[in-house]
Amino acid sequence: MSIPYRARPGAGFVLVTLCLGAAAALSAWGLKKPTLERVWEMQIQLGLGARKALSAAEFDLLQQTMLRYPELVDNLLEGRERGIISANEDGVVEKDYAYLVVRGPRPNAAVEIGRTGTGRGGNIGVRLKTATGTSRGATSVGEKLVWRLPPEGPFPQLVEVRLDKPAKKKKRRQRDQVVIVRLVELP
Amino acid sequence: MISVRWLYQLYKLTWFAGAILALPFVLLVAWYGWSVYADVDRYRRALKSREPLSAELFQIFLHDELVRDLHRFTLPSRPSTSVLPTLELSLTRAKLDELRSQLSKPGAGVYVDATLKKDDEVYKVGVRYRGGQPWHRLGAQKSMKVHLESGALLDGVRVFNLLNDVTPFGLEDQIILDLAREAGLLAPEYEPVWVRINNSDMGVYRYEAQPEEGLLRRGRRYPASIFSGDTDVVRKDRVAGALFWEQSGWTKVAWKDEAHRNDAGEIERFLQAVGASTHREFARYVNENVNLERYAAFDALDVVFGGAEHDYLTNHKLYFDPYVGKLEPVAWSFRGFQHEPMLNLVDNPLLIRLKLTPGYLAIRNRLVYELLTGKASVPEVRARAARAFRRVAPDLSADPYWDAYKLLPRVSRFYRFMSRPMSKAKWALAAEAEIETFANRSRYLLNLLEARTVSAASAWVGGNVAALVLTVDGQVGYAFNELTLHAPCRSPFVVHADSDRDGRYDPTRDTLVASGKVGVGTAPFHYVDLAPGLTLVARSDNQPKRGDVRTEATPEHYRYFVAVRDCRPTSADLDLGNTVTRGSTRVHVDLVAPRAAVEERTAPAAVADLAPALAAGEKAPHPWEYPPRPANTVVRLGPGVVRLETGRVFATHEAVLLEAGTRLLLGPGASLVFLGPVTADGSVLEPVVIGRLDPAQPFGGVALQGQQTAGSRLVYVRVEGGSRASYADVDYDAVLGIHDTHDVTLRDFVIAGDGATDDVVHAAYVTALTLHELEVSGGPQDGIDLEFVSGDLRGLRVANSGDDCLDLMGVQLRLADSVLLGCSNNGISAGEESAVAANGVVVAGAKVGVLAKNHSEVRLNRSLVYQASEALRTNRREMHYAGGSSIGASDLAAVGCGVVANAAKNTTIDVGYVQTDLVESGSLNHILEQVLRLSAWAEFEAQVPPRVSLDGGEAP
Repeated sequence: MSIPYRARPGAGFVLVTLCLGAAAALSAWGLKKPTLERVWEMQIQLGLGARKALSAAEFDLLQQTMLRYPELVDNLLEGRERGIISANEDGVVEKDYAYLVVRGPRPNAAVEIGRTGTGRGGNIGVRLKTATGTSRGATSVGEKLVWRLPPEGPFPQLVEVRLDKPAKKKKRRQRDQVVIVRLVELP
Repeated sequence: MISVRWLYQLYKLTWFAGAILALPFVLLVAWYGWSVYADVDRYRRALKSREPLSAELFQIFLHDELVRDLHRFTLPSRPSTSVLPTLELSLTRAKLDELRSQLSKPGAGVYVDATLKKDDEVYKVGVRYRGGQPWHRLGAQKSMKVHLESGALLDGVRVFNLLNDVTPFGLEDQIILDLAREAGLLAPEYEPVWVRINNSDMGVYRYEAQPEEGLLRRGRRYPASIFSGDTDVVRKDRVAGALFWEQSGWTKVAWKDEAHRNDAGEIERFLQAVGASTHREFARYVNENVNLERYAAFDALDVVFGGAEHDYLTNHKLYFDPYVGKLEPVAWSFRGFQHEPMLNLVDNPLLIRLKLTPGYLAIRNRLVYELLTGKASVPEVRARAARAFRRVAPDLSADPYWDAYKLLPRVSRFYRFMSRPMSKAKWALAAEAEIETFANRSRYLLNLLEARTVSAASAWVGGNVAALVLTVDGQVGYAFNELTLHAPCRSPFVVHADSDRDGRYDPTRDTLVASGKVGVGTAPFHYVDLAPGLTLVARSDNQPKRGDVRTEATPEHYRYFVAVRDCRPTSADLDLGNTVTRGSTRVHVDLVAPRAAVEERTAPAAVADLAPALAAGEKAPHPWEYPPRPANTVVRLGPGVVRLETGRVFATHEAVLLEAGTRLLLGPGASLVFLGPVTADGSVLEPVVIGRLDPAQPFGGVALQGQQTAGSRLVYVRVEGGSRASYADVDYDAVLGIHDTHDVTLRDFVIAGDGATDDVVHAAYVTALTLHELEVSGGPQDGIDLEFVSGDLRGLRVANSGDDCLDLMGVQLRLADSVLLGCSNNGISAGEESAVAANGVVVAGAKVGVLAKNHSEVRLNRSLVYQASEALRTNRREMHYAGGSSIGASDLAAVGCGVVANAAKNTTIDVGYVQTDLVESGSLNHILEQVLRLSAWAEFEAQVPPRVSLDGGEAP
């Protein structure tokens, strides 16, 4: 069906609209925070424990950037083969998450999550996420939860450990408990 | 109001009209596209990189360009209340073009003429760009070096850098250099300033003063040699820069005077010691020629902040203090706020030699601990950073060119070094990251330094003798303070150190270090320093800057034999003092059950008489290879004649007592040097006399040198016929030299100088100096020359000096009841920020009675200036010191003087009523009777030499 003459835009109008659109699109694209800058911020904030857990998009972004830039992994791991890259003190995490990086495939690599401390506290739900999938489990005081990492990668592999936030009335009992996250080798 | 018709016309626009309307947008897009491409290309060429122009890279550059342009629209004005100094440079168009044309040429550029304005003062300067890295040259803010011409100084500085500092945090060097200055180190100024060029705001730069003479004056050091070490020469036989093996990398950038300009003796001896001396020789060299405490303080800052700039190639600056006779470092270029799991990120050759020398690491690690728990604790550093940022933040907000690198993750060098627009939010994030890195390092270091690193084991020797082996590992050393032995009997015991380290107990060869009784705490008096060992290991990341070796702590063993007379010892409690934390560590050892002897698994230590090659595998000598510190002794000289043909140097542990009536006769050129405390107990009838052995030839001189001379007292002493002292590399300008000490008293002291010396009495770096009833005569230069001294002078009699009777530099003094007679130039010359409070002083027969210069002040009370060409004068000629000088006088008598007060511009002389006749009443009566000890003015007038002419001397 052809557009009636009155409704047909002039060639000049189309040209102006396209050029304006291109300029706006270029500006919008240019003004968007660069991906690497977002990764830089994420890296620092995770290291300081100064942010919430990564969103799904942020997780994918960090995973993809690690794949594209091996030198980033060298920097994150400081020469190690694997390790925790978010705020921790010898595996002890204070936030409700921990992020780990494994440089290459290891068939017996696993994540171990343990809780120590006093108080009853009960179980805390734990979710483990990699680029290929998610697993759920629970941990209680004195018991360790061990997850074998998926060997199919991709590598370097980003691993997220998320702890469920306890209900408000349980917070007081769980305040004096400590969560320890480690990368281990299964026998 | 836009009509429908107009909108319709717009909707039906022809292509030609549309092309006209679209052109600005097309040009805008093209402009940005081209600008981004050009920026990327420039950056790639500067970094010599072949990074492809990906969409990601393009987007980053486009983002930054858009952000910068938008920022300009919202840029606030620089606050009028800004606290940053403003430096305004003006260049002609031609000079600016000449400057810019040098950017594309390799090597250092040539200075172009410009003017600099600061605080309404205008200076002629030379300016050139500096820095080879892209951030110094590519952006609008280019780093510059500025050189003031015609001998002018800006705040005491002749040459300085204006740096485009692109570190995101930007406060690293500022914080560390402030700490260096507070620790008493020489540290050039480093602070943010606002720069304008040809009336355009260029934003915040970092002002960095160059280490030169002005730094020494501001640091209250005597202006003398500074050596700067920078080279690009690499050794051919190993992966290491050649700076410490070749003199060509060292440049002398300051010197004492023209005669010393080309004298490189100090650096030659330094390099010889570092590169070729044995361990023992180096230990002696360091003890005599290196200010160990200050070098350790400098090194401690590198350790605490993870600095890696003082390496095998660059960034070394050493000052040689002629009156202390020692080299000390100039704090320069730290960067820091880095962390790797080692104490020193770079072990340069000097540092390795120092670490291999016993005692150095104990001093250094103690200073590291004091910093970490004090001025460089994490909360303190955080507070310093916050204060510094609050000061500069308003200006940074108004800075159109505020940028930084390292704002992208470390994915490649290309991305990491990209200079990008900054903001307060980015700064806050970067600052948190830097301080977190610092906190991690602080934690790592404290864990090392607070660790217990000593253990004890025992072995049975036989009979009632047990061997006690202490093993020290890690970074902490100990002092063996006390031993309490337990045994079934209350018998005496002795302890021998296995000083020959043969593992066998032989009381005739091993050294007795303690004797006591079972059950009673006993302090060993020898062989008490227990330090960990040190080994050189190959670096895994060797490169010319960092060298190919680093140091690593290794266990060191110390064996003692404990012998109880009447029974077998069963156990021992050792009290060990921690040399780092100053705490106490108690170690209990059971001696009952024989155990296997502790096997020394470490390789045999290097012998102290070998010269290390600084290669992997070399070990520090065992501390017991060096003789133990000698016990303090008292050396009595006299009474009677004591002949010292070749002079004598009394060591730091020797306290010398010169008995009343002692006559010390020194041979030609021989000197008497005291490195420890000296007491001369003369009396009116039996003074101590120091004189010539050969009446026809002067002896050298007398010197009190170093901190161990503190507390010295010389009472009723006469020194006759000396020239100048001589010891090691120390400069002595006088018959009597007192250097680098405190709490020294000279009372009823008579000394004369002849033509073979400059000054008669010279003191430098002395606090609490007391000179009472001192009689000084002669001397071709000054009677008494004091530099950086504080103290109390009373009852001085100084006569017939060739230059000034009292020459003062950087002093804080009280002067009372003193007579300065026949001074060829100035009676009192107070310079270089001196503060003198004088009461009851007579200056007679001088060209100028009292001179104040270089931001000094003299307060003169109830004093007399007699027959001077000028009674009081203030100068303002030397520009190393900001601020004018002043003299304030009350109850002043200026009799027979040509001019009473001559004040240069911007200085002040404040006198009330001035007495112009000699009368025997009021304050003049006190001067006549108590100070001059005369009964009539006629007697005084007869003593005064004729007034000198106006020729020569210091011009106003």
